[in-house]
Amino acid sequence: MLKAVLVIACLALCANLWATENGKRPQNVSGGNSNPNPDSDAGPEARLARILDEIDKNRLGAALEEADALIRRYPNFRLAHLIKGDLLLARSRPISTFGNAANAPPEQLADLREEAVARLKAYRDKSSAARYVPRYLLQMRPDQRHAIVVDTDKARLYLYRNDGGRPRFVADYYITHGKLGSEKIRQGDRKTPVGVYRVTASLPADSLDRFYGSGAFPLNYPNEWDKRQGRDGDGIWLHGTPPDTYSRPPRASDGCVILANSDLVALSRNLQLGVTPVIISNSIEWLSYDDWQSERDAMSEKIEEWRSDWESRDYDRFIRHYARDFKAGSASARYFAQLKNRRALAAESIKVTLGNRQMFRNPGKEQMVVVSFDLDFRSNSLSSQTRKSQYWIREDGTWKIIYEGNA
Amino acid sequence: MRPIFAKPLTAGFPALALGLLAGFHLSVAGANTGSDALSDIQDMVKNGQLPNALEKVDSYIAAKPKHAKDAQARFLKGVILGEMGRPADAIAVYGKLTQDYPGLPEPYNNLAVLYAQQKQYDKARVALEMAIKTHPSYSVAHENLGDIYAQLASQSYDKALQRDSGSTGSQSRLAPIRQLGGAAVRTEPAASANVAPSSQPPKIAVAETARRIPEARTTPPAQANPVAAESSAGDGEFARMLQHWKSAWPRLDFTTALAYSISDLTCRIMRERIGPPGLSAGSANTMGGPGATGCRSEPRKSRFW
Repeated sequence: MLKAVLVIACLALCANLWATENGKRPQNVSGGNSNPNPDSDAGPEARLARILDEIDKNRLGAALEEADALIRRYPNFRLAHLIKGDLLLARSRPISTFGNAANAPPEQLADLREEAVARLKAYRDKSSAARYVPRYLLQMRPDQRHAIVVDTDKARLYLYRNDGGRPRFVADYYITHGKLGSEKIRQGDRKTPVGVYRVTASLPADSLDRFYGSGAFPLNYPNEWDKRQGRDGDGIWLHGTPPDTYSRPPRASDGCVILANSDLVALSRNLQLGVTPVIISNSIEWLSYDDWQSERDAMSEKIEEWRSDWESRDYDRFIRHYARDFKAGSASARYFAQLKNRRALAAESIKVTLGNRQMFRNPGKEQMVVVSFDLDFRSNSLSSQTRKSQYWIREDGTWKIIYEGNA
Repeated sequence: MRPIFAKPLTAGFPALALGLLAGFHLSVAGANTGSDALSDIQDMVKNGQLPNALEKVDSYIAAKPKHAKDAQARFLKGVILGEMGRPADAIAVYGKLTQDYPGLPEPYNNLAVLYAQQKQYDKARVALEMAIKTHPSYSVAHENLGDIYAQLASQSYDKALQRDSGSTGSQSRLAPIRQLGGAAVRTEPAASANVAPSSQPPKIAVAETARRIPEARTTPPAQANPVAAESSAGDGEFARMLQHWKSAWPRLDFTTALAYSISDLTCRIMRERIGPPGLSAGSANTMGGPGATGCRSEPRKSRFW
């Protein structure tokens, strides 16, 4: 009896420690024994966490009820069935690990275990998605109502709303990515690409095999940078799950990002075709709003510097913004060659205006920012409006343009 | 599942005498008349003369509806119907018995066995929980409930792994009761000589049902020992996962917490089950003590501090 009390005291203290560590206390570990609003948090993670919570509180019956509730809500949720199996089996014989199904293929159990870890970890870490900003969302375009950021390591997709250029957390969802991980390079490498993409189309469920669930949204992989890096393959989609399962293991696709059908439907309401950015990272870097603001300001200043240096018609000032390995996209090669002509630059008075600017930091090892804007170029003899994109990298301690092309 | 009821009885009713003795605790007042007639019918069942036995028990019940042996007779009818492969009729008989004699655990138990045969494990579970509610120390019901939970777990696992329920190959070991009064046998210390400790899960022989004693459950097989499993789990997948977790939450690992909670839980359940209030302190200690089951009460302490 005394021991039991000790364990409970220890647990309560652990929960407290953990809560302070994360800054925000999730509603189900409330320090006391109350659970004021158990349904306020949608999604299966909250319920999963509650199951564990009940176990910690020595309430197996309640844990089983939570598992049943979870299964009623998500009938094909395999992980829930596995946990329910454990809870039931624990009444029959001692069990010591997670997933005690007899004669189960070990890799299948490992998959479910991985899913459990991913979901719970994301749930416990949820507060950071609201308190911090993914570094990538430096500036959303005014017409981009939402942005999507995917973290493949965490098996999580985060939806942000564009609040006057400031990303505000909306929701996050469990996802599946490539069976062999991320950083796609080759066709068929079963990896999910890492980079800045956008949703290009919507393929309704009835046009697809049931395997893709409630629909699909192709991404523009390979983008300009991918092509420049020689990456190939295509058909990277956001899509749903087959009818026989609520979710798939964290790593199971051929490179696509897979959501539960209900999650995909919810997400799709916020997607604008050709507009909504989908930034895929293998490990999101989070910034405080202050740090995010200063990164954003620094990048804005750099672009403004480039713009005004162009207007100044001073070739040296202008060309210093370009990296040693700079290449223009094929469409603008000729245009850029003209720019390089010192005399052409010197001879005319020009006016450069940038509108609808977006700036997304590219996830990955190299420091890079993907910028695009509507370019309004006016000179004595020429007037043009085009949408341009630029890839900026760090070189010699400053930001320089490595690629420029039509967006 | 093995059709227990269809199996001809060969071993007789070793618990008969005890069972009849214990029958008096059912607070069914009355004299001993009619026991000869009932034991005659039981002999007929034993010899496989089921239709005859049914006829006899029916006329016995009809002749003496308020007889002291009414419960025993109706119970026997349920057994006969079960033996004859008429589970629906047997369920009706037992169901009525549970209404008329809610204090009897045996009809609940046999109801559960029939439900389990029809793979209605949730109904079986409810019936067994009723049996245990009426008699917390009823070892057969505890045994059967454990089996039902294993079956329910297996169903959940099948759904988790999306496999055919037939593929697990696990068979229910549910034991029906032949005789009212089996529940009381458990408190008889003499019965303990009957069970030899074994690393194999105990196989319930039909005729021995009423003599099963709780000690059989308190010697868990070595491979099921949570402590042993914990130390061996340190090497493989689990340890890797642990590392992964620790990088994010150095002090609290929910995955391990789950595993420990569950093994803890098992211990608590076992203690609850095998240490009912009526049991003597000495036997509760040997059965439910942490040393005996290999359960540890404070695994978290070493993990998180």
